[in-house]
Amino acid sequence: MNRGWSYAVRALVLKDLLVLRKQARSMLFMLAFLLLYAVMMRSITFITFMAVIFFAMLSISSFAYDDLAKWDPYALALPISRTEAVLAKYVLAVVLALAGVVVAAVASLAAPLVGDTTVLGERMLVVYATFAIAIVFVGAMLPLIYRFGTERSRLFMIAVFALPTVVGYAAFRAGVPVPDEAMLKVLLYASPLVLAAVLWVSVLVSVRVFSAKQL
Amino acid sequence: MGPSIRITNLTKRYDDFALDDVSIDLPAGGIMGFVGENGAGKTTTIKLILNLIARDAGAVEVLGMDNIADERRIKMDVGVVLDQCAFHDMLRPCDVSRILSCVFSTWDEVRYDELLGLFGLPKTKTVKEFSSGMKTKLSIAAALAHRPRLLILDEPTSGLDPVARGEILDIFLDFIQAEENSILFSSHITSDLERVADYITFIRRGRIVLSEPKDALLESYGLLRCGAADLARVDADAIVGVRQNRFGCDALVRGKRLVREALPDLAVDDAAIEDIMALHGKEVSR
Repeated sequence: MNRGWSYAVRALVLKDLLVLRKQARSMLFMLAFLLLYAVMMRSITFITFMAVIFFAMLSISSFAYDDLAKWDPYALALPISRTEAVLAKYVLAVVLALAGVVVAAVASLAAPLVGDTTVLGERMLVVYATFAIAIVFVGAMLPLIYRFGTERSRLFMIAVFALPTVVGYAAFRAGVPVPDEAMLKVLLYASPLVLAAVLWVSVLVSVRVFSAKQL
Repeated sequence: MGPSIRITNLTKRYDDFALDDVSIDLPAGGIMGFVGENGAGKTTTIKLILNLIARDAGAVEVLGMDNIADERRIKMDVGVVLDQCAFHDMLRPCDVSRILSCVFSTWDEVRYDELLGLFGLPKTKTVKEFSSGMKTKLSIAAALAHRPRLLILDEPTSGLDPVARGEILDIFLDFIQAEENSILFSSHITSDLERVADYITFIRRGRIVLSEPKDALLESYGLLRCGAADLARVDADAIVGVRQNRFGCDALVRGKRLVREALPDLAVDDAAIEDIMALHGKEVSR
């Protein structure tokens, strides 16, 4: 009997969470270690940033684990389509990024305990901005991983991180004005739509690439 | 009832290898042993059946349905073991069950536990701690627990000790008790095929050399050990392969009964599948 796509996606996300659980635990341990740094700096920002990025990066490592186990040919020998396999990776990435957001939000709420005196709203904004960065990062990386494999994509990872910095710096040098508060507000309110669009396009590209892959 | 697998004129070309015009029928209820040297095209054929790679020409029907148009329906009814255990090192057999029960509505937890028990696999140890034989057994348990009608297995018994191989072959024979269930398994361990296979398909360099019922095959082929002069007396059409050696030659003959009747002074032994594999198509130089 046909169970429908949501079951296949659920199975694959569950598989990745089970595979990653140990690494997620050590990641939480590492974040706890970073608390020391937060106390020293009297700032929680670094932890909130790292929490979201670390968790989002876990979805990238899941590809490496799949390669190691030669999982993909087996998964596609099951009643799982290539589109479902791709979708599951995006669901995983978003779920993990959200898990990072939860950790980061808890850290933000607890910020005064380490002597961080910034406004809560501001800290939450940092968490959201980091989440947005993580989603864009995932949206850029996943099609590259599907196209070039995990090994070769590591190089792109650096590029994906460096590119915005380079572009920002170039814009600054070229005299492009720093956006004012009203502009930033528009950006903020439009961002969920932008993120959804980034993911959508990214999924489409990944499905296309993965569908053509010979396993 | 139609065949469980029907492959017609299947072709797949690579730069350095081609699967060329392959046609195979696996009748329902049978076990087909798919033999050939490494790199002969066994895995390529299996991947094409499972639509993991794109074919260049031909057609594949599985359980009476087109393997691409009805891919999902087919895969609900097929159990697959690929050449390597695909379960990640950090997963445990109980995790595998959680994952696959999401995939298959027919997943039978009781049957899975029964198979784990039979194979002596601990439910809560990680795959990392398993030997290669245990990994294969886990893959087989996972392939059987959703109660498929067809098993497709790529080298399921390689890497196993004789005792474990025996256990797995018994499982195959048990599976085939249900009349419409069938198995396609590739192997180069010919003794396994001799024990359980109903049909033998032999592939070499991307081409099917023969695909016949095993009994007919063993009934027909014989091994003749003789000198070159004696070989010259044998009907040329009966000889399908010759290997020269220091003492004369080993010749594979088809229709051994006729050869025995025609030349009663020559010793024509029964040929094993291994002999057929080794000698079939070998240069007939006289």
